[in-house]
This record gives sequence, C-alpha cells and structure tokens, in this order.
Amino acid sequence: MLFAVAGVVTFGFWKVGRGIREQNELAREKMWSRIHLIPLLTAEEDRDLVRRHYADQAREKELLGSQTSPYNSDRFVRPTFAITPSQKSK
Amino acid sequence: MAGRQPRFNQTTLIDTTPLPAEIPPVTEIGSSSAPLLSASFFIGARCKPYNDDFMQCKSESNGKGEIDCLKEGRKVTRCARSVIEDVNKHCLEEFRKHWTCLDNNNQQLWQCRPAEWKLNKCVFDNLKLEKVIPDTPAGETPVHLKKRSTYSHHGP
Repeated sequence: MLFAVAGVVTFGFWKVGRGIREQNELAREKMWSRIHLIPLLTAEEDRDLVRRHYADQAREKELLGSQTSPYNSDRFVRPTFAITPSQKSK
Repeated sequence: MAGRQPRFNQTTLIDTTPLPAEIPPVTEIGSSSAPLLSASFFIGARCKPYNDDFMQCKSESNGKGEIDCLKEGRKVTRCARSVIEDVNKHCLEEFRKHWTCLDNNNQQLWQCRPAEWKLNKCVFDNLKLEKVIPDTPAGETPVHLKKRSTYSHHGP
C-alpha cells in the first residue's frame, strides 16, 4: 500500500515537473516574440509622440509667439496632458 | 478602488497635424496584435539588426530617443512591414489560419501548433526565415516543435 502511494505520488510530481518545464519554455517563447515586436511598436508610438510634440510646439508658437519649455532639461518628456478639441470634428 | 473614475478620451484625443515635411514619411505597420504575434519570430529573424540598432539608439540618447531615433525607427518599421508583406504574398492562407486561430484562442501560441507548423514551413520554404527561440536549453526539443502539448485544449 505504502509503495503504491509512493509510486502514485512520484508519478504525479514527475508530471508536475514536466509541466513546469514546459510552462517555462512557453513563457520564453512568449517573451521572445514580445522582444522581437517591441522595437516596432516603440518606433510607431515614438513617431506619434513626436508628431504631437511638434504640433504642440507649432500651436504654442502660433498662440504665444514664443516657445518655452517648462523643464530644465532637453530630455523628451511625454506629455501628461493633451489638448482636446472643444467639439468633435472629422 | 481607485479614487478617480477612468475617462476614456481616445475618441476626443485627436491631433491630425502631420509630421513636419522634413521628416520622411513611412507607412505604418497597420496590423493588429494577432498577426504581429504570429509573424513576430519572422520579424525577429529578418530585422534583428535594425531592432537592436533602434533599441541601442534609444538607450544611448539620454532620454531624447523619441526625437533622435526617428531614423532608426523608420528602418525598423520598414523592415517589419517588408516581412509582413512577404508573408502575405507567399503564405497568405497559412498566415491567416494561424492568426485567426490565435485570435480565437486568447493569443495562446500553444493552442495553434498545427497551424503554426504549416506557416513556419511555408515561410521557411519561401522566405528562408526560421523561427528560433533563443536560449532554449540544449538537447531539448524547442517548445514550438513538440508534438505533444500539455496545455493545449485539443489534448496533449
């Protein structure tokens, strides 16, 4: 009886171990697929951010006549607030 | 519970001003997540140098990468686009089957192995791009080639 139980438990743990190994490999696969995609997605988002940034600057220039940065550095700061139009337009 | 209600303002967050003319335009990749996931390893196989270049540029430009790395970013997008276009040209049917399967299965890659094998074979035959998962333990079948998948709905 004891040996039978030990056998069942050993088999179960062996299965669990194999499952964990496989999960690790699946996680690796998913991670690498993401790693291959991230530059692409970042590039797209950066282009959009830069486009909005330049548009903001042009708008500021048009409205105020000057461009001032609120930051004491020349890093690119993701805008916290965005201007939304007062009415929806196409 | 969050103190502030979420406001989904994607519908009003519109700024249609195009990029300045001196920045060359590039056609965006324009595909959704499932096709991208399906093609990710082929994108990685062909575009790794461009991707690495872009990420290096971003990490070395001291927080100004958004503006300074536009050129590298365009290369990345063009390269990925070329992969998707080539896959579409040569293996459209297999590609479509695979990413539809991914879409229907919560984007879990292990649910769609048969479709993936067909796609991988077609892409390797036509484009010579192979899916390789780096850092797989040596002497073990890579997980995407295993005939028995423990976690698949369709039995091991």
